[in-house]
Amino acid sequence: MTRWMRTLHKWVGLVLAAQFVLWMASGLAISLLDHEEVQGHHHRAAVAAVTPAWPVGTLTPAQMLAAAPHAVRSVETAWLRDRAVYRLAAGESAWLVDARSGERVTVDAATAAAIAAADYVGPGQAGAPALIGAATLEARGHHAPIWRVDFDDEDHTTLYASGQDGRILERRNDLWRWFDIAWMLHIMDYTDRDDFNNPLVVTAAAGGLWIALTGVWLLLASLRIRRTARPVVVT
Amino acid sequence: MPEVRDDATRARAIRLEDRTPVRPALWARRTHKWIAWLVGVQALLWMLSGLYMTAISIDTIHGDHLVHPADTTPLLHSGRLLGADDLVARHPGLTAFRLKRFMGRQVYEVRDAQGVRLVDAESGASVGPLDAALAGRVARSFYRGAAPVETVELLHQAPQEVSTRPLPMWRVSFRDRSETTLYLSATTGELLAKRHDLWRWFDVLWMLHIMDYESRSDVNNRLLQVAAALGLGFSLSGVWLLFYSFRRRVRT
Repeated sequence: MTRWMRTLHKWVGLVLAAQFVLWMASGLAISLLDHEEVQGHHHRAAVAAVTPAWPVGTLTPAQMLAAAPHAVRSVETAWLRDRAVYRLAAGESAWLVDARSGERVTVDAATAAAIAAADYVGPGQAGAPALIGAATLEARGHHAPIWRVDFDDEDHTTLYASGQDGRILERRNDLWRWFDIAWMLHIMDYTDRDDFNNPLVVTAAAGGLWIALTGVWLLLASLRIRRTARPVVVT
Repeated sequence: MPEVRDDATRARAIRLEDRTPVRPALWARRTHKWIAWLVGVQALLWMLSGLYMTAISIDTIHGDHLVHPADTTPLLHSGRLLGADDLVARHPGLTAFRLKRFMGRQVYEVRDAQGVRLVDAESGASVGPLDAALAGRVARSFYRGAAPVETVELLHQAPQEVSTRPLPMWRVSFRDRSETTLYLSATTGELLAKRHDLWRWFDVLWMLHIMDYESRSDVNNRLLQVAAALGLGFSLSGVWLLFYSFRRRVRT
């Protein structure tokens, strides 16, 4: 039995050897990379403690609904810098309307630059915002159009803002980029780096569990062997 | 005694002649076993929890199958909707509001000096805070199963399984096999969290995986860092050992 266990431990180990090293190395990296910094919190401006009162004289939500180009699921108040706006949402799309004039508000480069600058604290200077047509790996899970604003700080901070409603979508930096590689290796999703339910990682994890179980067996068996072997050595 | 030593020397000499690298193999095995004693159990837990977390779809863990898909009914612009200025007049210190659907009608979620609450979008009458009966009905409207509601409790302290959610909240438990619990905001009726047994197991296994037994969320804890470093040594020594494990022993 133990011989079988050893053989299986060896062969499954041979197949999974590289992944074992990668799991442990990436796991170690994830545990060492400060998660707050990975999330970019150290370059994030504190949220204003006091939200300004909603001004008198804005258009009514009913007017917003009447003028909306298509069905709307929610209408909410928001501020785009100093401008009172309504955010209208329907499914995955959202857009802004000036709360006083009723004009559609587009998030242009200047607005994106201002949004990014307001969200950022640190020594970096913002570069010119770049409009991205399709979500990249760094801005995955979000819908285009997306503004990308790079800062020239040590961490190479990049902020992503929605081209639809001006929300900050992601705060990325070099630490996150390392984290993301480690995460990719850890969950074995080499394309989207998102799906930890992929068949490859499930299979590898099943093999890993097999290695662990046979390993425990062998470890306990080695105890028993040593105990029975000792008298032989003595004589 | 000298004879024994002679035998040992001879055996070693023979092995050396066969070019079987005894000492490195021995060291590889010894290292691998030593580390196994230190982190073997944790490595077993890593693999066990890793398999669970990867094998069960995260959507299932999140309990998406437990509730109906979100209400997609669009908002209607009836002429009777309160305007922004009406809300400003009715709610001193109004900073934000949101028009949405709630239990088949249109409501405003307003944020004013007194906090957040729901009001009817036409009459302005207060809809919340939710009482037990309404909380039960709201939970029922989300819930996809057929099981009856078991308990409805108002919580002013968040249990661990919803520790990051805002208070106060209603906990509505259903008498089903997976012990489904829906948490609702007592002020807005929003569905804050869905919990069930598969999620609870996931949470325990995640705790074991990242070795943070208190908050279950800190991946930067020292214990994990040390264990992961040992784990790396464990896997590397395993690879090292592989080099010696597939050689055929020449017996003399």
